Amino acid sequence: MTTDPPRTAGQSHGAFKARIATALRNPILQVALDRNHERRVAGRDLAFAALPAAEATRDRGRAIRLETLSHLDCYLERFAASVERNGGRVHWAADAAEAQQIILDLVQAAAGRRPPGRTTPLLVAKSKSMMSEEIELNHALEAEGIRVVETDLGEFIVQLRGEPPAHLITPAVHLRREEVSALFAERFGMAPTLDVAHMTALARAELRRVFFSADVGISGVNFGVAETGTLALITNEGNGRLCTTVPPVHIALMGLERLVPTLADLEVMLRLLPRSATAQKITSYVSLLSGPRRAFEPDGPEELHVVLVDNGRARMLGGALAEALLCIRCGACLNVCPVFTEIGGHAYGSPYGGPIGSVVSAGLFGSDFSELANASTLCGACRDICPVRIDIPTMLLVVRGQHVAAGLPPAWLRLGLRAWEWVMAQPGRYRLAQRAAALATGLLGRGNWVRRLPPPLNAWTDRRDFPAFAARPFRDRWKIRAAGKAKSD
Amino acid sequence: MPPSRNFILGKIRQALKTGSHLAPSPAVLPDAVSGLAQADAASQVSRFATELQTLGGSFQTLPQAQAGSWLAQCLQQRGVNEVLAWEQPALPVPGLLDALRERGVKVVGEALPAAEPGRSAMLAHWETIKVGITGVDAVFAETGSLALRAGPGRPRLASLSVETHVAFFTADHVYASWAAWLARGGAAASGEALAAASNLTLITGPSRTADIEMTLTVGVHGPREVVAVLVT
Repeated sequence: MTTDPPRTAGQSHGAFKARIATALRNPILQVALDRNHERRVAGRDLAFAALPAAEATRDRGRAIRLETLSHLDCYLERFAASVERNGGRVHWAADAAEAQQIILDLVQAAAGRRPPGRTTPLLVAKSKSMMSEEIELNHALEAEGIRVVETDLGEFIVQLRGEPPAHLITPAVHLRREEVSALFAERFGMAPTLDVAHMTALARAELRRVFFSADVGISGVNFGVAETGTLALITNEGNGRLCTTVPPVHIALMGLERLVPTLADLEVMLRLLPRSATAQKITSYVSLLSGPRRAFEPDGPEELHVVLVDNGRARMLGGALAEALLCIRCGACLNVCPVFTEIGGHAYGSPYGGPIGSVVSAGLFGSDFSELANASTLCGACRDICPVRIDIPTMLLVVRGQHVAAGLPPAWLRLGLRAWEWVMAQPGRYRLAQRAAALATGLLGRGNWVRRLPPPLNAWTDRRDFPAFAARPFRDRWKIRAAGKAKSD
Repeated sequence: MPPSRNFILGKIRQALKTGSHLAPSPAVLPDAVSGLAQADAASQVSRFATELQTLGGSFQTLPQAQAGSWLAQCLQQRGVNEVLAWEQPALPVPGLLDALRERGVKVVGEALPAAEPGRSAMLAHWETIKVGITGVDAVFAETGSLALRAGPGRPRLASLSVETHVAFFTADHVYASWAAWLARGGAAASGEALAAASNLTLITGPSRTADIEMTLTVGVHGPREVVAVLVT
C-alpha cells in the first residue's frame, strides 16, 4: 500500500513560464481560444437564461454535492453495494499505481473472452475519462503491449498527435481543421480536404472497426448514483455508448467523489452540467448504466467493473481545498477565465487546467503544482459561472499561501519582500523610498508611463507599461492641503 | 475485503471528522417540473416535435394502420432490406414487424450469444445493418428526448450502431420532462426499474460532435438520423 505520492511530472517555475510563453506566441491557439471563449460563454448564458429557476437549481446542485461529500463514506458504501447488487464489480484504488494495476489485470483477464484464433494485441476502446489522464492509464497499458484507442473525436485527434487533451470538454480546442487534415492525410492516406464532415466520416469508419473488435471498453463516469448503483455518462458522439455496449467487458473509471445520492439528485445535476459545459439543455445521449447485460437482455457487456480511485481525494476532503471536490468537470470556469483564454490547457502541465484545475492539481498532486494558482487575476469570473458555486478565488489564495509556506517562490521574490518589509517598517525609510521611486520612474518613463524597467522588473514591462509614481507623493500633498486649510480657517 | 477499501474509507472518515470546511448550505428544491407539465397533451407533443427538429431529428404522426407501409416505404427509399429491431411485444404498433417481413424485409434482433465465437460473429453482422426500429419507455417534451430501456427483446444497438433510428411511441409515452417522468411515471420510472435493467438511455436528436473547430457535424458514431413516430 502506498500513500498518495506526488505526481512525478516535472514542474518548475521556469517550465511553467516557458509553456505560457509558447502558448502566447502561438497565433493558431490564440484564435481558437478566443473563439472558444466567445461561443461557450455566450451559449452558456443563453442556456441558463432559459432554465426555469436557474439560480435555485444551482443552489440545489451545490447542496446535493455538499451532502454527498459530507457523508462520502456512507454514500460510497451504498454505491458499491448497489453496483454489486446489479451484478457489477467494484474495485478500490488508493492511488494511480494501484488503479493502473487493477485495470491492467482486468484487461489481461479479458483475453479469456477472445474469439479463438485471434492473435492481435489486446484492444481497448476508450471513451473520455479525465481520470485516465490523471493516472496516465494509456501509457501503463501500452507498456504492456495493449493497444488503446481514444474514440471521442477530439481525443482521437490529440492521441494521434501524441498530445494530452487541451480542454476538459473540447480536447482538440487548440487545432484548426488544417492540422487535423494533415494528420489524417499522414496517418490514413486521406486525400487533402478541409471538409470537417469528410474528416469526421473518416474517423467514424476507423473507430467503428475499433468498437467492434475491442476486447474491453473503458469509460469515465460523470456521476454515480448511490441509491441505484447507476453510472451516468453524458455524451454527444455516441462513442461512450458504443464503448459501454459492444465490447464484452466494460471498465468504468471514476474519482470516488463523483457521486450523487439519488436518481432525483442526478436529474438536478443533469440540468446543470450540459448547460454549463456545451450550452445544451441535454446532450445527445445520457446513458444510465446499471450493471452488466442481464440474462434476459439481447446485448450489452458481459462484465461491468467500476474502479473507484482515491489518488489524493480523501486527503483533500479534510483540508482547505475540500470544496474543489464539488466540481462536476463542466469546464465553464476555463471558458470564462481571462488567463486560460490566453494560455490554453497545455500550459498548465496538468490534466486539470484553468481555475478549478489549478486548485485540484495542487490538492491532488501536491506542491509541485501550487505555482499554477499564480496564473490568475482573482477576478472571480470562475466563481460566478460555476454551476455549483465553488469559491475558486478563495482557494487559489489558499494554494498561493501553501506555495509560499513551502518556500517555493523564487529567491528574488523573498529578498524583495524582505526589503519591502524593511522599508515599510519606518516612516522615514518609506518617505525616502517614495522619493527615490518617483525620481527613478520619472527618469525612466515618459509622461505618466514607464515603457521599460531594468531586470528583474522587466517581468512587468515586457507585457504592459508601468505607471510612473507621482512626482509629489500623497503625503506631501496632504501636508500642503492641511497647511492651506489651517491658513484659511 | 480488499485492503484498499478499508484504507480509503478510513481516510475519508478521518477527513470528515477533522474537516469543517463543508458546511451544507440550506437549499430549497426548485420545482422540478416546469410549466410545461400543466400544458395539454397536444402542446406537449408539439413542443417535443419542435425541440427534436431543432436538433436535426424528424417527427411524424401516423395512424396505426399506416405505420407498417410507411416504414416499408422509408426502407425502400434508403435501399435497405434488413433492420435491427426490438421484438414485436416491445413495440407500440401491433403487427409492425410482420408487415415488414411480408414486404421482404429481414428483421434481426435475437439475443447475442454470451460466448465466442458466436458473439463476435453476430455483432459483425449487426454492424452492417443501417436501420434500427425501436419503441420507447417515454418521450420528454421539454428536450425532445426519447427514453429507451434495455430489456427482453430490446437490443441496445438498435438505437446506436445504425445510421437511421426510427422510434415508435404513443400519446401515453409523452411526459413534460425527465423530472416529470420521475415524479409521475410510476414504477417504470423508479430507481428500482432503473437498477433492474443494464441500461436506460435518453436520446436527444442525432449523434453530434463539434470537436473540430467547433463545427457541428452529425452522425459521428451514433445514428445520423433520428425519426420519432407518434402512432395514433
